[in-house]
Amino acid sequence: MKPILRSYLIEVNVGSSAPAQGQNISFQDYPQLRDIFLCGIIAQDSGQVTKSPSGKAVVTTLTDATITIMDKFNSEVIFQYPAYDLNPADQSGFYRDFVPFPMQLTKSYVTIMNTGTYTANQSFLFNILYYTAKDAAMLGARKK
Amino acid sequence: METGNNIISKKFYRVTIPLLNETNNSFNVQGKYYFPEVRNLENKKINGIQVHYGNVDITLKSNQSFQNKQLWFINPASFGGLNTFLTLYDVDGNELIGNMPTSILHNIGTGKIIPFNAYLNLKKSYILVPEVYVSTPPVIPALTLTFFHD
Repeated sequence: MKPILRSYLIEVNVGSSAPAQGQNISFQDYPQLRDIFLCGIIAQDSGQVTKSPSGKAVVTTLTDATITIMDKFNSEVIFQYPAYDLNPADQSGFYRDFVPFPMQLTKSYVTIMNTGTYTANQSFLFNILYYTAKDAAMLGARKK
Repeated sequence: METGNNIISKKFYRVTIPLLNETNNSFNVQGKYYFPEVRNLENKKINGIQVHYGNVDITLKSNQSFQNKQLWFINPASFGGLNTFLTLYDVDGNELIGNMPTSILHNIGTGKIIPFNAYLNLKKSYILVPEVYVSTPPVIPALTLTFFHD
């Protein structure tokens, strides 16, 4: 695992009604996560966190959801990756780190794989691990 | 010796944050709690952070008290305790970690410590408790973390 440079928690709420199989739920815009390079994602369910910072109930399992992450060129760099695989509690404490790429959060989404698993107003929690272009310039300067 | 990508830390320092302050001394712990000033961690490169939970990997010691009240090291939310979220700032005032669930930093059953690489401004950093949670006096809930540093 690479050391975490920056992390920001994002919440994906399923909405006011229970989501159906095949439904895509888009990520909201977070100003902190514009123009960033994604290098890892950590997801958790209610086995670790029961309420989000905004007070919403956290989903009870990640097994029936996948995530798709778009880069700024509208390419699906991560396509329908099982969310369960992003929870360190289920992966011997490891988190998944990726070769960094410029992420486009607002075109990225969660896909529900089974009707009935998730109920209204539940939230997915994802920690986006990232760095900025300024960080990259500083890291490059340190290597020289 | 082959160490893989392990990071070796020379020193560890544990910081405890009582989840109670003057503005909410009614023992409802909902709110934001800033870190105390920790001179031992100033100008130190932090390599890793580990959270300890009560009755999981740490229990109350008789010599650990705050304002003559006993501390209760909180249980994780999944054990009926508190949800807590960590926000960390670096020495330049940049937000490094935004609302990370502390459970990510707890290595129960895994042995893994999430690595970091930062010089922190702890006085600006804080723990968020989003829910209303009423503690039973005189025991004060507290969160305790170990910082691994050079």
